Amino acid sequence: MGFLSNWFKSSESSSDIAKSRLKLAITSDRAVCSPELMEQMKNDIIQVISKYVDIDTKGLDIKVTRTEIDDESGGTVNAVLASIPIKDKRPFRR
Amino acid sequence: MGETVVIKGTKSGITLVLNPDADYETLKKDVAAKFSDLTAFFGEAYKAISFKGHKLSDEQKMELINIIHENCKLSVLCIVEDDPEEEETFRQALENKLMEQENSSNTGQFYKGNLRSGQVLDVETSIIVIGDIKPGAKVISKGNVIVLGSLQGNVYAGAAGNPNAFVVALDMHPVQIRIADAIARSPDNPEKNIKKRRKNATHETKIAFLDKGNIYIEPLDKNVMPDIHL
Amino acid sequence: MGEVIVITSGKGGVGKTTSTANIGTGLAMMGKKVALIDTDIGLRNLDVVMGLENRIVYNLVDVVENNCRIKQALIKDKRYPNLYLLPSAQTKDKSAVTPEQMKKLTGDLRNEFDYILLDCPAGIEQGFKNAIAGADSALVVTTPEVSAVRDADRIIGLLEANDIGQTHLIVNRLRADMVKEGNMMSSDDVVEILAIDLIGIVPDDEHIVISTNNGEPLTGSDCQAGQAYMNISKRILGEDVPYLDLEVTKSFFQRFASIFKR
Repeated sequence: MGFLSNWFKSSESSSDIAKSRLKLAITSDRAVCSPELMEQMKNDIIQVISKYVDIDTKGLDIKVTRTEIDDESGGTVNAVLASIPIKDKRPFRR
Repeated sequence: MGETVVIKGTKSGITLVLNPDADYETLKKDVAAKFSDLTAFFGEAYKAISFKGHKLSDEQKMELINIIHENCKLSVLCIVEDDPEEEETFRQALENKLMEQENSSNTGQFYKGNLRSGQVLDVETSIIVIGDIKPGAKVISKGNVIVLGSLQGNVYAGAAGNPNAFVVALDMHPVQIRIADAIARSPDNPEKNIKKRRKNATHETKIAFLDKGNIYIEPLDKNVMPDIHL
Repeated sequence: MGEVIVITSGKGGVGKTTSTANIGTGLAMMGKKVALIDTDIGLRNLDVVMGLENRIVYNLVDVVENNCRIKQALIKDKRYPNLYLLPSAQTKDKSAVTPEQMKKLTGDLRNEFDYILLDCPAGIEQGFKNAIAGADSALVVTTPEVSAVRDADRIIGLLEANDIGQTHLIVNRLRADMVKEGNMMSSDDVVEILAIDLIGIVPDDEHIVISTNNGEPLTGSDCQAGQAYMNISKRILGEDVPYLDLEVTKSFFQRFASIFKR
């Protein structure tokens, strides 16, 4: 049993894993955005950004999530989170 | 102001919804117009017809049907009544007929197989079940119920009110037995019951019958024979 | 005017029926007149949990189809004379009843009873729609498992969409020892995810199994689950009851175990 408990200690506890997986699943369940609409928005974002920088469309990740507001209220707000990898190493030189 | 005549079609018939406020002469005219418009739609079909909305005498109904016949190729086969009073009379007549049947005859049917929770076997005659009746299952018979197996569910004998109906089971552990208007239920203490059942592992054939408004369950031996009335 | 409360969960097997039986019993113990309605048509269970299955003559479908009067179908509890059960039909399916009929039924019962508890079937289809139709408020039951919590979230969304005013959460089958080891989400975790008010935490207790075997709800008995359900009943009546300290009782069990070790 010793090695098992060590193994559990070294990584995240299973309840934490459950919590974070649930949060993810629930946010996508709650998202009002249909997959088609999501795809359209994604394409539009790619179009606009590609005007300025060369982006890696494969690594692209855009989703609507509930995020905590950065103030004392502790409330939450729906937000579009986009992680868009840029191909160019020094993107903004002119 | 809505239309005076609305035609609703069903699989086998048509319903004429008539405006209760319109007078009969207007209705006649409108029915004629409606049906001549729809001649092509109906073709040469055979339909049953029912009337709704407007109170009509039998003569008036016949007159309207004649109007329909004159104005299109449709053939009205019969009038379906939508009268709750009449329906009740029919139902009672049917039930009386069934009562007669079960009082005068001793006919029966067989059923093979187990009955499980949610299943209902509803028969007009006596029934012999070859199999078990599990908890939650139900057998309803206007006559007697014989279970060649374990009776652990609900059974209703003499469902039309025959107080001489009885229930026989090889293993008698019903949740509820009803005979005619009487209801008996199993004892409330399940634990003891289970223990008792294990003790009496050798199943004893028992009979449930009605006597002076109470349901009795007795071993099926010569002592109860006088209580059985076929 | 009575209050109509629906007990629901989305996922099956998390303890809706057990909770309905026990909370109903708790409210009746405190002198309230309570009606329990099993709305799970085709898969009735509340009757066996209450130990009243041998008394059923008429059921919910008979009432809405006017085969009998409501009073004929209501079964009086074995122990508490102000607790009644309206059993579900076993031989019909969910479509035998419409939301409008349920609304009317609960409306009629309001005049007679202080509380009407509806045991909702699992799922979000017709049966769920029937059960919530006449409800003022809802108790959502979940266990600290991902599947149950996710389904509870879906249910809460649907309850909000259907304008069910108050929604409270019951976290069922919590194991304090597993929470401590980090192998089970705590009630706080679940509340954080679902973002609704908690009304009770019921520990995983083998007495529940025994109580359902016997067909006698255990509310108010000495065991943890019995106390937890009593507390929930009290909170429904508006009492401010502190939550059970499940940790303390755990050490009690350890003490108990150590007696045997000696």
